[in-house]
Amino acid sequence: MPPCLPPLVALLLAAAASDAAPLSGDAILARVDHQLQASKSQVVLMDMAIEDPGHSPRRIGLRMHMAGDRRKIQFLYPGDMKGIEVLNLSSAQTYVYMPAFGKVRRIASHLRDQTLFGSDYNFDDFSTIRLHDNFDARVTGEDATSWQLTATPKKEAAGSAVTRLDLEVCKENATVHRLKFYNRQGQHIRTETREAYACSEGGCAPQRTQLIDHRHNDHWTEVTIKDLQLGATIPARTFSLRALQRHE
Amino acid sequence: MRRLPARRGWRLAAAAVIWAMCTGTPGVAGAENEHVQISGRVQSDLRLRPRSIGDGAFYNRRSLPAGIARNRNLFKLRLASEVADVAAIVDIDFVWLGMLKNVATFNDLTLRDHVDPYFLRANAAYVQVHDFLATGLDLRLGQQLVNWGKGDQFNPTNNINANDFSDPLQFGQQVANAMLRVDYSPQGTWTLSGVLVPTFNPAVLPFSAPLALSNTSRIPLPDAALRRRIVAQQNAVQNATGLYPRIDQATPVLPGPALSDVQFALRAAFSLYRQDAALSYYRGRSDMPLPRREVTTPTLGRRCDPQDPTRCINGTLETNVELHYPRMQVVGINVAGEVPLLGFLKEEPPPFGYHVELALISPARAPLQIFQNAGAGLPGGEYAYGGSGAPPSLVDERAFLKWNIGLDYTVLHRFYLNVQWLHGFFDEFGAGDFLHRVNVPIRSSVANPGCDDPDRCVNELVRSRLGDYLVFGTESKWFADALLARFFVIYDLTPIIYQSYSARSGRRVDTPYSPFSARGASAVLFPELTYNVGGGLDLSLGALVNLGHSYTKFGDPAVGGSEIWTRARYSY
Repeated sequence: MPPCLPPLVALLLAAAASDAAPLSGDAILARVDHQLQASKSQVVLMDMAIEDPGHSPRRIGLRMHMAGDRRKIQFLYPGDMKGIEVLNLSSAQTYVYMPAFGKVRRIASHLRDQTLFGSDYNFDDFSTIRLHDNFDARVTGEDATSWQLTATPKKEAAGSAVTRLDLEVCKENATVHRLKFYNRQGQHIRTETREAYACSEGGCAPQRTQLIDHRHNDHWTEVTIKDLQLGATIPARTFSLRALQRHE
Repeated sequence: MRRLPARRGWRLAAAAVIWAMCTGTPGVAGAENEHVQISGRVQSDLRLRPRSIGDGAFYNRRSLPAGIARNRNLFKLRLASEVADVAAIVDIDFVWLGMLKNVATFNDLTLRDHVDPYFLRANAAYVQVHDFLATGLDLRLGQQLVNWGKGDQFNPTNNINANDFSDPLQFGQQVANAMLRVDYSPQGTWTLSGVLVPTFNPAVLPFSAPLALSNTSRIPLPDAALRRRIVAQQNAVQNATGLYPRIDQATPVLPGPALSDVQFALRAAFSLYRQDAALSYYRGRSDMPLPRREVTTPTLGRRCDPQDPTRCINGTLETNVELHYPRMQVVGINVAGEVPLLGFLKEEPPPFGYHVELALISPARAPLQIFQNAGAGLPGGEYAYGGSGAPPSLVDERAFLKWNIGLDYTVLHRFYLNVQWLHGFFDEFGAGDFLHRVNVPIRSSVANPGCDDPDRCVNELVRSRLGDYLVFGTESKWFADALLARFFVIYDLTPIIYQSYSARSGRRVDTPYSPFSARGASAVLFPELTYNVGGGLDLSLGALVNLGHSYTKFGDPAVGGSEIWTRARYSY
């Protein structure tokens, strides 16, 4: 992974920061959340490539609306996934509309660590909005440009397979560049890398994210941002359960 | 999903395409614009019936042959246009049957829709207005489906649309109907709904349903004494005249367009403490037909069994049955959410998903009138029922319960499990279970042809009118979710009771057939493998296996027998 800042800038920043009190892991995690939440709302158009080594990738088109803790994902392609909508109202409240069944269903906790329609992401990834709310973090290392954190769940969420997160956070803008996920047995199960951050007043967003699942022969999913609207005006009803039920 | 006459269907299809073009779509298969979304699928189904099925004696036999059971190709087109607060949805299936029908004359060979038959199905054709007159008030008008109920596929509280049993692989599929729906979401997760259905649609029955008409040994009267008397008398006529019962026609009489036949439903849905709940009310009719009038005509005409020329009859007692759809009111309760059944374990595994769907059904009384026309030396007139002389009830006014209670869970991060307890199947209607002990016959016979005491000579197989069923299903995905393996079982837990006269004890005795015995077991097995090729294409292979003796719920030939099926589906 490339460093998050050019070396010279990083050195200058490190020098400037040397007199300041070191930040705690929790404070850094709060900064990460603040950066993620800097934009009140986002509309993101994404192309997701899912690859099983040795096979050609499958592509899924997604449009995601985000505002605060609420997210809504619409599947745009391929045809067998087109029309599926997932609505996340809170970390415990996720609903899915499947056109094939014509009904809105709540996602049960036992399904939260299931893959999200064949990708390496799961419903838990989708609903974990604020890391600081859910994890305690401590600094395990740092260099001129980044912090290394280890985060553990505040209260182990029922159904979550993740019991530890290792994060690499850029010092300059509190963006996360690498995440490692560990399971209950302490095994390193997944790695996510976030690259090519585009920053504006509305915050920063990675243009490319890759998630590798080490449990499944390093099967990976890459998400490329096709269009990003930070601070987009999203009607409140977009995130209402009723909006999802209108499809029924 | 109402079938339309072919010509009218193509006009509608043409109109849909024109509509798509007028709303700015460059082409049906082309790109979408901002306001119009196009989706659908092309699907090819090939099914094999490994063994022929049939019912009845040589003079009234109906059967379906072994071989190709279905060879359908389907093109689904769904157009959704939304501008501001107004949306319009059209969802149409064009279905080519792939098998000949009605080709009996030379002239038929000149008719394209006989040689290459097809039909059209309108799953949706409605307009929807959001925030109509008030914020949170939605209005939907037109051909549509209203899916209520938290159960999986089996929804006793979902009565607004009629069931569609035309495809045995599509459990729970329904027929769209024209209706007006209003939903109001004042705040939070509350939604108040009202539905008005001007005209009634009956259920679409399975292709194999006519086979049930060949079985004349189950007179569906709950009054056991009257039923046995009819069986004994029928048998006596048979022996005396050589005339055997045969159902000629069953004619449905649909409710008229009167305002009193307008159906409506109300529902309040909400979430409390992370549980989703709904209370509903429906006033309308059962979508399953019940006989209300039988007229039997003695018809002379000697015929013999082609397989055994020594077995001959002098004629038939031709019966025409008039069917109707009894009125009913349904109060529904639905609750779904999570319950920590394993919460006592140290690791505190995730809670189970659950649903409870309960329908309290209050039917109108459904009497059965029995008439006989004079002929072949037999007298005519209405049957002397006895008692007050009033026609007996097939279904009385007692309210009854149907429910679906289920749990779901995932084990080993891969295997999704689903268990449901159904009380009352789709086609079961009327009180008759452990709350109201009402049995209905599934087979009747006469032990001693010369006997004139029905209690002594009529043997019957009966069961509770409302059965209990265990549904168990599992799903798992393999090879990066490309392969879906699914296996579902529906097991009939309802005991069958053999009732006969015991000379030793001097009374009728019950001999139960356990649902777990060879004589009483009945189940549906539904294995399926689906491979997702990618890009919207998936290929499936599976089977629908109906097990049990012919008198059991799923072994009954009218259910359709077993099928092996393949499906190719491309979604766009």
